[in-house]
Amino acid sequence: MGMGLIRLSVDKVTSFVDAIDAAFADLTPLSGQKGGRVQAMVPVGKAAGKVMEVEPGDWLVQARLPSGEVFTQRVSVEEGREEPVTLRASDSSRETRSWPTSLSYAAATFDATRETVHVSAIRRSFPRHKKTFALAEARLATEPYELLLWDPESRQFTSSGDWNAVGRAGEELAFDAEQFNLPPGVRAFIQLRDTPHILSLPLPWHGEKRTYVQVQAVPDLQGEEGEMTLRAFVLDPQLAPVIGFLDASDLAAARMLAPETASFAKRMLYGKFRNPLAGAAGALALLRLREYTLLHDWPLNLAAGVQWLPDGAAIAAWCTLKLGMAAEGKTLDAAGRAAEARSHVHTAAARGAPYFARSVSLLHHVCLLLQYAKTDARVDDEVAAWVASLHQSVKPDSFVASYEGSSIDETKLLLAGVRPPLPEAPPQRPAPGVAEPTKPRPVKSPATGLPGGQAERRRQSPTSKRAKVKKTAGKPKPQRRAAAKRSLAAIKKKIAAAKKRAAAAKKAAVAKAAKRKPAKRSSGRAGGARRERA
Amino acid sequence: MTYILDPPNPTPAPATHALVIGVGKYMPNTWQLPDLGSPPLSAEAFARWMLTEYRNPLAPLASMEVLWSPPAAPAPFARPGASQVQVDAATLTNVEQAIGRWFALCHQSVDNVAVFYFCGHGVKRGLDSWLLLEGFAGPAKLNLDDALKFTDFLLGMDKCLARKQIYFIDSCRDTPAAANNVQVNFGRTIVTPDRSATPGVLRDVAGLVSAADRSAFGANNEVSRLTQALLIALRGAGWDDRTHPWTEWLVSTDTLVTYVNALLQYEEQVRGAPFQRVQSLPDSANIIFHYPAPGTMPTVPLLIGLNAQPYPAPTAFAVSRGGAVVAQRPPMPADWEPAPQLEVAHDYVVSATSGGQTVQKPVVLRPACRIERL
Repeated sequence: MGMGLIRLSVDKVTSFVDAIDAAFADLTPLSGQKGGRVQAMVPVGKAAGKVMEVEPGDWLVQARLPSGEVFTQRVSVEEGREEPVTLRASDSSRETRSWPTSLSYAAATFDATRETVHVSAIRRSFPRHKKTFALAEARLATEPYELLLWDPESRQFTSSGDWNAVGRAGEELAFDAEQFNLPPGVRAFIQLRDTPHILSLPLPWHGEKRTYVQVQAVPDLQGEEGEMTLRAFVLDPQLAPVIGFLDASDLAAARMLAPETASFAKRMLYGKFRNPLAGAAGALALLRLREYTLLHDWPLNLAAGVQWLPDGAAIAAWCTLKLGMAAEGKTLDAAGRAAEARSHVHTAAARGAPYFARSVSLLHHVCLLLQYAKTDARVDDEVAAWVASLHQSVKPDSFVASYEGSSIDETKLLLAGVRPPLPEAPPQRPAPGVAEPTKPRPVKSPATGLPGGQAERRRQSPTSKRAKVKKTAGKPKPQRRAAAKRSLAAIKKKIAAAKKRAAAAKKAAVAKAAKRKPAKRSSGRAGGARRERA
Repeated sequence: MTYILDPPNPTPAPATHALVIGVGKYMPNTWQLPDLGSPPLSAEAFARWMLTEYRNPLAPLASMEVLWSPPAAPAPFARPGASQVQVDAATLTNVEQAIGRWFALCHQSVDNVAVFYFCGHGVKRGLDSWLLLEGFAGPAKLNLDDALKFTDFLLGMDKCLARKQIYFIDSCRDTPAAANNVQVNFGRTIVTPDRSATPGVLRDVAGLVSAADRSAFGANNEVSRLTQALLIALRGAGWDDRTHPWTEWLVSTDTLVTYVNALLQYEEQVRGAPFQRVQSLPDSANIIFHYPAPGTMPTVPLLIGLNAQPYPAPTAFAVSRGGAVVAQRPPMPADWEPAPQLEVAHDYVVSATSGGQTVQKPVVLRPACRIERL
């Protein structure tokens, strides 16, 4: 018997961000067709849709968005004919992209009379259950936030008033990744002013197409009532659906992406030296999808080749310890894995807080596994304490990491990372006859520098967290502002110099490449790709 | 020791071993965490489902231990067709010992399935989470230890040979404001992570974890909303027929999360229940958790109503299949949920009769649920 076709498109009122949506299509046979169910991802919006070959007969067509919205239609397919099916989604805004986002919005209960926003200023009317979206949007427009730059050399944060490269989509912030092109190592953060909450911006992002990094303010379910939290989304049309479904815990849909989009994640990892952050995001997506074979040994190259990226080292640490990942031609025994993993953790710590929340989790896993083990590869105490603090400070349910310490100073300290003593101490072996400790030793708090007990007591004191925040917020700032200005000028100077150096290096590389014979290109497949290394 | 299902001697392998915990009794505490009536009832409901309906031909249920702490007097568990068993309290000591026994049983074979269920208060800070046990009183009373540090425990369970591990965590995961000031290392890990003891084969871990705020639980003396939704899903609304449509039904952990969320959403829309959702554990694998008996068709919740609200006139509803009425309701000015629930099928016709006019609509009924308005 011949086959028929279903051309499925999911039509939707699209806004700036909705263009990145994808729907999980699930086609169930209704008239006993033998082929079973058909599942695929379908782009949402004005795209032409997706054509799927099916056996003739009746089909139930369902499309599911990361928000959990489901659209259904019944269709009869005849042999040799194409049946168009258009599922129309409601006029929804951003809630469709990511389930955790919609969770935050919908679960938050705002008392509009106590908010300082003017609901009348909102650009369109929302159904009652969506009003919180509007409030959050408007809140972001009025919320005082600050752009911070972090210089890896001076290891200092500087407030920046330079918002030239920052655009807006509706009431939201959207960073044009091309315009906002930071030199490697210089990091950009957004701080909600007078709170200890800092969002790490995934920049620089050299996407295949023009990419925006969007920042949203959403109600903070983990915090006190009325508190906001910031979230960032990389609006890369191929990455966003993967992250959307993974964040949404819609694993059936996310796994559906594996054959189609995991190859994209792999490509992102493969192109790690062109876009290191995308490389790390691709590796993390592959880990979430448990597509370990697609990783090859590339996380190790990412860790070694991109020396400003903590995530690369964090991923390499986990892959080394758990998957036994080793450089080509090298095999590691258990002790070797532990030693390598430990070294990666230390490297990550020296580079600062990861850009992605999942990297923090990987670091934490490695630290715990090494810390409790009867092994000589324990992670340095200070580093282990830093990782534990990071793990408790990173906001859950968000792919791009945002951090909140007990105070803004603690958050900044956490973000700066830890520099373990260099060169690294040789593995400590216990003296013969001396029993090894099975529990971690008391650790110093990275924030306070005090041993565990003292640090804990201080943490429990009434001056911590909100009290501290208010205290800091109330202090006069003229001296700090002057210092910040000076530091900003220095950073700008350094950025300019770094850009100049990068341009010169690029020019030299292009000239060098032109002189060489064309190199044999790696196919990107397992065999060829294994040879790839920058 | 409270085995609801005693482990046979010798223990068969592969087998499923379950540990079920419900904590409703807490000390007066500075975090304002109240006693809860719901967790022991929820634990009992889940344990009863495991005993009577769980089906896994590849790893049949071989043992189940239950611990619970009702806010009032300790309650016994009535085993089906057998005597009552007095259930031990879910104190730290008892939980430590029960986890030890459960670990040992699961550890006997790589093909074993470990099932862990918890219902009670939970605390979350960043990516760390804790499950609070009886006796937990918060930092003021200095007994923060009466908690299971779930994040680390989960990692530690990688040491267990059972390579299929499934966790159901039904707890509000609030972060009380005061909890932001607690020490980093409160609570007990019980099973400490250990790289050197981890089996070479990667484990498949999956689970369903509440991602809710304070409204996680239902009424005080009812099974919690999440566990209710979970049980409805396990009894039909969460079955999936990916490989053999309409004939072979399975419950996999991937789709279970999606379907439980659909059922929670259904409850919000139909009964105005507060917003609540579940999440899968990070790095979840897809594990087939339950194999319903072959030939059994799932039943799913269905709501039939009018688009016009309020109803312009009392309306009669009927559901028919192949020309025969399978369920109907006399005229009333309200929506209707057929009870008992209807089996899945793709040839239902729903009709509404109001003021002498009848409207009909064909309906496909599939997991997890359906709201049909005419």
